[in-house]
Amino acid sequence: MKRLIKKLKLIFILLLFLFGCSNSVSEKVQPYFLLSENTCSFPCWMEITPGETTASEAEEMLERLVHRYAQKGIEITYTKDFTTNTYGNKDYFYYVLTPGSEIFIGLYGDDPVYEIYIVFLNTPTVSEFVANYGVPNRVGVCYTGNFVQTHLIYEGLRVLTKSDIPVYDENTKTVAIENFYDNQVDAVFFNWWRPEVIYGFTFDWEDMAQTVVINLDEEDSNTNCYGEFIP
Amino acid sequence: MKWTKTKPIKLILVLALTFSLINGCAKPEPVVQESIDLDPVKQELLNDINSLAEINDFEGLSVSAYWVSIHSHFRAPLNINDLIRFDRGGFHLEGNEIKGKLELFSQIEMNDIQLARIGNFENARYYLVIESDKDGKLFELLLFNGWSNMSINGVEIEPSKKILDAIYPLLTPGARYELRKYSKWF
Repeated sequence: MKRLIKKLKLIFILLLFLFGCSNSVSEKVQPYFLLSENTCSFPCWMEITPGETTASEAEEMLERLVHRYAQKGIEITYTKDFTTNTYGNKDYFYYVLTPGSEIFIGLYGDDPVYEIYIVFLNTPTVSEFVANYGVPNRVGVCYTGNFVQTHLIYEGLRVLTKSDIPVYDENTKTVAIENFYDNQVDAVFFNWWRPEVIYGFTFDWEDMAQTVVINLDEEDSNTNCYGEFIP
Repeated sequence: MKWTKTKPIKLILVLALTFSLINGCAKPEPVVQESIDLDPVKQELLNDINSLAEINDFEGLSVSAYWVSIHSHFRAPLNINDLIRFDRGGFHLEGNEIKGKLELFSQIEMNDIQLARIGNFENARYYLVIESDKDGKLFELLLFNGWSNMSINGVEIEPSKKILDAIYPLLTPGARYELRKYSKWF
């Protein structure tokens, strides 16, 4: 019996070493919890709406946010900071730090909040994000010449991805999207003056999941947009 | 030598423990970069950038950043000296304040540097410089109005998100927020 206890102790110590080093910081929350747990409809975020919420109201909302998550054991901090604009005036913003993301809430004088910028610090891949947050309504593609930007489009929300996809064939204007799923999500951006983004092409998530390359010069009759799929 | 039944188990456990200590806690091996692009300008620039991650002695090292809003307009184009003169909301780090914030420079690879044609250097908006008392300027990043190319150590290159990512840990919230306005590149 004593031998068995000794063995168990050794195995326990061994397990501690094996798992203690590689996974010392366990993920308490997903980095995009502040999207999935949003309390209002985008572009309103946590009761802060660009173009409507005043600075003092925004501060109240942030204070509540901090307390609400503190009760769950999640630390959120915020500070009011500023940059000085060209005319020597201070442009204030709230800097909110949460596990896995930082948020900039831009203010302009006494006007309401004009933008909310949520940046994922611990950027999950597109695949992970979609698996946990949900399938986007569409995937928006912006073709900028040498690169193709892809955005995940949800109701009232577009999620920017980290890396552009390079156009690998200049003649046929084709892009390989097999790495699209390994791309990381980067940020979410809400502002009041540019609610809509015009994309060159939009695709269904299912199409993106089944396709290898897109020819940006050809029209695809199935999707009613340019960018023929080449499986 | 007496070989009891428990000895092999103990031996395996000790070996496993040693193995886990060596591998479990070891830092990942640095990626060896195989470069087939032999452009001397790119190679020198890459060496300069990668070497920032190898700095161990932070004595006499400083980071400074200066900017004006990317959206601002001026009657005359701005150069680096203008940005420094305006000094609106810039920041300065010294010595050990920089420690642990240069590591991402090791991840920049040759593919992240695409030389660009010489454009207009006279529309500067964002300037970051890493300097050493001993060796002078080690790294200079210059961004321009209009999301054009960027300049690293005087070499104009196409926008590189990885280089912007590499400087990100050095920045104050205000500097990050301003850099995010170049979000077309992130």
